[in-house]
Amino acid sequence: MSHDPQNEVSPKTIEQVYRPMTRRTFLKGAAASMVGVAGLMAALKPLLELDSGAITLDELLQKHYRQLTPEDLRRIMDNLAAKAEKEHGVRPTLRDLKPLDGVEFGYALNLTRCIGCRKCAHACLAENNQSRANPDDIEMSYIRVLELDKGAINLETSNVYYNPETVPQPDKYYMPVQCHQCRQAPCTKVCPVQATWQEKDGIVVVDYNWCIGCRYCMAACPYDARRFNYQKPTIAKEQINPNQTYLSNRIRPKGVVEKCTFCLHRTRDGKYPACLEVCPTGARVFGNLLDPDSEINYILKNKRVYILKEDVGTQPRFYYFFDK
Amino acid sequence: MRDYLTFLFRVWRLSFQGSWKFYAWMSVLTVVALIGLHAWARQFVDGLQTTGMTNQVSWGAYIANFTFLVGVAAAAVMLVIPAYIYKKEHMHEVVLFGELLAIAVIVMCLLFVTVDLGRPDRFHHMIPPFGIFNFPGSILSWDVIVLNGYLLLNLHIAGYLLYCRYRHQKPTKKFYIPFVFLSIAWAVSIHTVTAFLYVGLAGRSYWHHPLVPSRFLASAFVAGPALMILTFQIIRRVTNYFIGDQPIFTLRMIMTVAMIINMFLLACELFTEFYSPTQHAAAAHYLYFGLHGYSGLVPWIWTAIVLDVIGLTLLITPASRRILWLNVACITCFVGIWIEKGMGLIIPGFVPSPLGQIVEYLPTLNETLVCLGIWAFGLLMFSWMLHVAIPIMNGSLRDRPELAAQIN
Amino acid sequence: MIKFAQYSLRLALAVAISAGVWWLCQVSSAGEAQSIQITEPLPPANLPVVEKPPAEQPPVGLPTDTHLDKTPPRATKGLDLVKLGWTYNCMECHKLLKARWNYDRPMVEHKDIRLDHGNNRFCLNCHHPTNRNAWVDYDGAEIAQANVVQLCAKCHGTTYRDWNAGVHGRQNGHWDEAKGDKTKLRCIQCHDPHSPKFQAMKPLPPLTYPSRAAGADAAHAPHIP
Repeated sequence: MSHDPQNEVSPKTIEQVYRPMTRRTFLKGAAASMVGVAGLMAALKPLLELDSGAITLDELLQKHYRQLTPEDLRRIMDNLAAKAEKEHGVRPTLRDLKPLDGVEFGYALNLTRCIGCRKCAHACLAENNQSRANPDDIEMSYIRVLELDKGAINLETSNVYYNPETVPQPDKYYMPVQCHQCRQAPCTKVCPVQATWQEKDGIVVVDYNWCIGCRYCMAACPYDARRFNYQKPTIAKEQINPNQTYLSNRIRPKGVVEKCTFCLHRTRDGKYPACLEVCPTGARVFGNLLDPDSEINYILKNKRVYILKEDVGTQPRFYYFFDK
Repeated sequence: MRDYLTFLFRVWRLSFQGSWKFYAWMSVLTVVALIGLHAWARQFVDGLQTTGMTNQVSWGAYIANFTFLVGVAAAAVMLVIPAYIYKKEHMHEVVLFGELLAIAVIVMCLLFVTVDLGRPDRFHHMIPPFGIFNFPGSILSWDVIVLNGYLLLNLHIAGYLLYCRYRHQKPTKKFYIPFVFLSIAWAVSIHTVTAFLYVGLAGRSYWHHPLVPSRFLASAFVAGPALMILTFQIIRRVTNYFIGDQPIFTLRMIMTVAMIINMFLLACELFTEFYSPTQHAAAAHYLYFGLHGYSGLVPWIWTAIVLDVIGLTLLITPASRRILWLNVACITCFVGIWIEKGMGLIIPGFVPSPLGQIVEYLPTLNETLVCLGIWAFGLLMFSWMLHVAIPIMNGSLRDRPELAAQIN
Repeated sequence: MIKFAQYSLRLALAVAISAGVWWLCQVSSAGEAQSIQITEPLPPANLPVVEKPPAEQPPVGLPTDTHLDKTPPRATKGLDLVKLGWTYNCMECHKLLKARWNYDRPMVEHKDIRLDHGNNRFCLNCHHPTNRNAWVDYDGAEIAQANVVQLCAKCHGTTYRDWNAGVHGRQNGHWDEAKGDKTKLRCIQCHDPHSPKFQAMKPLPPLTYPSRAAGADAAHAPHIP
């Protein structure tokens, strides 16, 4: 067994190892190294196509949002605004809005009223500066409207591509799904770098400058509420909403995860989220869970509420309710 | 210290010495690895749009290969346990190869995770003090610790033993035996923690299943030894390092038992999924039979099942006492489990999506090239380590040349 | 071309009606002009939401919500008459044209009105019998036209309760009223009172199938179970 003339490492080979390096072997080695380096350079050639501003030292050294001083954050936001202006031709009003004291946001959606018109999904896009391949592309909208068969709440047979002449169809009902801002959010738990976390007012946010793009949070989300920037976001100048905050709808970098923030750039200003503003049936109700007189608390006290995937234990702040 | 530097220098010199076959093999692997690197550079510039992944199927071939390879790395323990706990002499001759395999495979795992990142330039966010490490909350942070820990353990054990062999010293027990035992527990932990990555996600019913970690270990202890058996025969063929039949047949026994357990657990899983028609079985339906007219994974999984069954049949019958049939069993088991754990475990977790949407997944060419590149790089590392280790193991590379064994 | 012809016809008709109404008013104003009570210049029932006063505009530098379509869902009717200066003073005609209590459809004008409101079958269940510029309450008292919500609440008590609580019908503006206005749409901005069932509409375009997904070309309208 052991006698094999084709032995891969022969004694002669070994002998060479002991000898000091000759000029010839050195030159041979040098030539081989050159070939190797050339191969490596050729392999890495696409890196030359990187935009000059794609990776900046500033960004590499930037700290996590929650460790930034207000001055640092101001400077970073100025840089981001300048970058947006350079790349997209619109200078956004980039702000940082902190959670309000005594406010915890809650959202309720009336399944009796929703007719599945998708105005919310499109308003979400108009508001939040998501990337889109073409003007009609709503893939990245944070809201997916499911069409369900009457007689069950069976998501497995739901359809998001429905497109009849008119809605509602007589044998269907509709269920828009977006981030539920869970109290026990699986997405924030699994993030290896704490790039996503829950704020005091209950909104789960992402620091787009900290996310490493591992997409574990997307796997963890039971509501399919997170989107990933598979490419550098494309968005036409006229589609940009310049009212932006650092943690919500600013134009995202490539390779990071994003999600619904209940439009915190609006709601922390006291306004309603965009999806609510356009809902033709008034199926959407938004308010402060800590205010006993708020509309959302009226629903929790007086209506029959349904929690999507309650068995998963996420304890959402998003409720579905029924009218009749 | 000087001695150690000489050692490193000689290892380095040896790395570039060899027959033309060695050169050819290494060159091919290098070229494939460079092609993979090129594909990754393209992905780095263009973003993950170069892959087949979508918002619905947000993990694909990279994570599938990662999961499978963690198992292969963990399986090195199947050489360590017989050697160190059951004191089987014949396993001591080969245990080092298991550790070297673990090193190469863990590096592959780390590469597969890295190429999956959307922002590899922010890798340092995971490393304190530059970053924030979400420990112990995130299972992924556990995984980073156990994988790197396992890599260090094996580097230490293998490196120490090889250096002692080179110096012709008897290894000092206290310098490696504690690490060997630690590595046994650690090997189990790497695959268990990797399984917990998936099992912990309550929102994905296909993964949220207590059998998954056990199945992970069982299938890993088939695929790992299968690869080892094939490697041993290559070592026997191309070098003069003596490996008897005994280690191979010990591994065959391990494979057989593990495969029986694996198939039993698979049967349990199938029964649970299909006996009661729950909505949670939708992913299994999609995987095995297709759902609503979508059946992208059906050919994959049935190929895997057929390969697994062939492998199991060969292993439990006397046929595999012949090396040829044993090799066939090794190959079918290895490929079968690769499919089962990759396309068969990761992708159905995303199809249908939690909202019932069906988006299918197939790796793109660029993605496949990256995968091939990493596999080539892993093989390159493993080949190199064997190339260097074997002359040390058989005593032909020594600190004092005059003492070197003149084999061949 | 046809559209233009239709429009001119309508214009001519409207002018003729207006002239007729003006003439009628002139003729009859001598007698009972004092009995018509018009409390305020009444807005058309379906005006868009009132613009916010300047003080409550968003902070300087921030845009208004022009990118969001907040128009009330009910399609505006009778716009042509409004353009022609129609004052919504219904008594201009109805002083003469009186309706009987059990009429369920208009006899002369408004022939496009089909009353499809469940058990609520008669015009004068809602319209005041003598003052057509007002609604009628249970006891025959007038409800001002602007207070249409009070009229609907006569029957739809639970809906009115929910509307009052802010959970039926759309609200716009600010959830936090310390920071700005909250506007509520009124009943008839979404529902046509003569046919109050919410109208079906064309849905906006569906989610696009991810272009990178396997089989994206073949399956552009996928998964209809």
